[in-house]
Amino acid sequence: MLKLFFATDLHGSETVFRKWLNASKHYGADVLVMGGDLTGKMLVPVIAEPNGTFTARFEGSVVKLGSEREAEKVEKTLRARGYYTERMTAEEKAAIQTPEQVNELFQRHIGDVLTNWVGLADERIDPQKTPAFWMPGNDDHEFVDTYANASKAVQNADGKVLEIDGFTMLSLGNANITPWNCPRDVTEEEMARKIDELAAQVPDMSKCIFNIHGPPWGTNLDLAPELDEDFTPTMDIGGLKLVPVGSTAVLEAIRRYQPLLALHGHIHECSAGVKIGRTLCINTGSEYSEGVLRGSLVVLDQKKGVKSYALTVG
Amino acid sequence: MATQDVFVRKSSGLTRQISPRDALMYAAMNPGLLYSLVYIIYAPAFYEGAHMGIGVLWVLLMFPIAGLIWYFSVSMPRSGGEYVYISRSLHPSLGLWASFIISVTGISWLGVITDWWMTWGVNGTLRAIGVANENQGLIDLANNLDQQWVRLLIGSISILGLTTWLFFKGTRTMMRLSYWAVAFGWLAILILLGFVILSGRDAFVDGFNRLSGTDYETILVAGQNAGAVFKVTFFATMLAGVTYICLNTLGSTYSASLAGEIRGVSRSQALALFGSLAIQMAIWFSAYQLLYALVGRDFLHSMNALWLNGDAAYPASFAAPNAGAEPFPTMYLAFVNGSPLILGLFGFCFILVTWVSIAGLAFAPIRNVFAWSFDRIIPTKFSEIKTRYRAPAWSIVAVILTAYIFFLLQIYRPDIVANILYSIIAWFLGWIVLGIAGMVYPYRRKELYEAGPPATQKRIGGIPLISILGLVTAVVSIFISWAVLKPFLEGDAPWSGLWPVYVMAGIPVVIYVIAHYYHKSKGIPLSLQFSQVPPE
Repeated sequence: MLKLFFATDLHGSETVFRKWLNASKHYGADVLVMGGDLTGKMLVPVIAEPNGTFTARFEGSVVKLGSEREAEKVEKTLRARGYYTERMTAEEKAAIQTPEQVNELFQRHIGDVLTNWVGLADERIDPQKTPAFWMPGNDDHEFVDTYANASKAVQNADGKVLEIDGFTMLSLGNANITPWNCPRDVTEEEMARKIDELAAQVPDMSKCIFNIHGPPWGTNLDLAPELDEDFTPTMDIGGLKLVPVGSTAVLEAIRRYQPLLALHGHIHECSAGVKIGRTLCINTGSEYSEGVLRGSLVVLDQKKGVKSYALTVG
Repeated sequence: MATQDVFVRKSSGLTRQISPRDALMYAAMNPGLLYSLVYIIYAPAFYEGAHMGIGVLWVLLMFPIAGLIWYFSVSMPRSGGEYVYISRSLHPSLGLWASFIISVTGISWLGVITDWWMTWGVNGTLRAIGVANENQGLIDLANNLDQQWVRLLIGSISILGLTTWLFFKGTRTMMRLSYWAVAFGWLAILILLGFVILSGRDAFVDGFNRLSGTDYETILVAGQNAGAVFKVTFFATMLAGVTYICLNTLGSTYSASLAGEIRGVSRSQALALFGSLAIQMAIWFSAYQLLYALVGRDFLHSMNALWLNGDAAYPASFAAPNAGAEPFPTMYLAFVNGSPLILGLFGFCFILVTWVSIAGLAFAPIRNVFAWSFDRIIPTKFSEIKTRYRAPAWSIVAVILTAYIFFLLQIYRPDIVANILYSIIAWFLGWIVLGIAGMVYPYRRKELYEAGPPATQKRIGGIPLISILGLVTAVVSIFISWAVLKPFLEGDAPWSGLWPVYVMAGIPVVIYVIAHYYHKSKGIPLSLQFSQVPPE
């Protein structure tokens, strides 16, 4: 029997990453898997005012920070929720005008945080005892690979077929094209080609785990708010109007190959477990911005396949 | 870029905020804006000496509760409402318990209120036009429509057909209807205002004396004899306010579930939660005061007392042979102006606003059933979203069928539904638990609290504001529960009459115990599913 813990889409949240590192011990899991989207989306400038205080503006709030200690506390809180922070003056902030400058800023912070995470992972995880895997997702830039490959304890699974205690895991961090044209968005054709290439290396699909960031289209795993042309969610009777946004290539691959288990992320709003043929497909969703580790605990049996599973909120 | 508060890189999921106005209208219309036309009958009948206009001020008690829910919805912007807040702050079993009784209470109202718009909206308006115009055909038609089987037929079509269709349609129809509901709520107030300004009390008295078969002064005398209290008393006004009027606000917090799924909700939630209460207070205060101005508070309360006691002095023109014999305000208007157009429009306002609120009342229960299923406390079937409808079909079916059972009870066993109305106590029991969750949240879930947006971190005297609001919520809920329970506490009503509350409180316990042992047998206990992983 193999107890696998899967989480995804931590988007730079310090708290969620640290919880994931501790999940093996907490849940009694034999294997840890992180399904992509490691990096954060936003950076909050903490403006140093001439009088020695600081100001941070985010989520519609203006936070006045009277001391260094207060500033550090807010920075820690923001990091817990996946924001990066940068101390700067109002003039320095105003000087950041071009997309290139913003990208450089993000690249530096993403690199610093991932370097720190690699150190933490190597310190806390014994790969001989608890195999652990992570990979970049569609939101992660190409340079993230450098950091994802740097850990001795956590293996970058992206684009690989790996053996885990009698099971195989096929991993792919891409997703189909999104309205935002993210770094690792690919066309459905490209997605299908990549999955097929990896699937050809799988010896036994009945013992294979698909770890594919983008969920299959038209299932309960891929419903996201429908956006209008201005990226504003549209309304529906039950609140937001939800539409399927998953990958048809992933759906087709699961139908065709019928792996034992398929693990997905990407769509934070829509976590569930569904069956596509014989395959149990799970999207754990994500609440990284609240510091909540959403995950899935799956008990696998060599003979019985998936013995049980649960969606966790940790 | 430099003008932005934060720097944002290209990544998925970055969406704009839902319109605060949408959230406001949605929250405002969920509690029926024109239920006040019903409560002006019941509240003074049961709490003699109440002044309904002043009683509206007791809605201020709901603001701290709205504040607590605002804090929670901003701290944990997820669907599921009280279930999520309590589960994460205290324990999933308590979350289920509180949200179950709150949900079933909402669903029970859905069933009961379907009968309201038929009885008082359709039939009451037809009868009023008939009486005003001495048209026996219309009165007969109203009486025929009041028959049990006719109400069953129309109500069934409404719940199983129209409401279900609306849930599955998956369009923006509901939001449009919310705007219409709020607009027609105000239109009803404008009509009342027109009656007061253009006609006034004298016209009402003349019309009543001419058409009712009795006269104004006789009603006042008979009403007093029947127990009507003309003097305004604080205690009766308070009880009317904290029971019927505060009860009328329930549903205005449903926006927490709606806007909870997207980020940046603090502004829209604040507007929805507090603004909706302000709109409701304005409409209800206007409705009560205008009806008092037109008819006279003493007269109106006399009529209520005569109706409640089945007094012989109760005007025959109000009495319906099958149902709906209460002195519904449309009839008062009929004595002033018999115009079918105006009376019909006023009746239509009540029908539309009430019918839309039914759909609103089912919103949170559907989401809650979905959330329980998602957490595997009930079968996962209920959290399946049918791709064809893009809706949680089984959750909708469960809610609709439960509502329909309550509707059948309303039609065939109104005596049972009368007990079910006490289920409102269950709602506030749920909010007592919510209040406790608010009190302990910053301490039990420190990392969640500290990771919340800055607006949720405020403290007063070193104590987190959310804890203070939690305490106030618990105290207010206990107070309102006491007010509703007063007849039981004083021995005027048997405790056995609260059996719906006992049933509603017992069912979630049974559900949780079954789920606990089932998942334990499968190797992943529920307790592990919800336990907190330490970050350090």
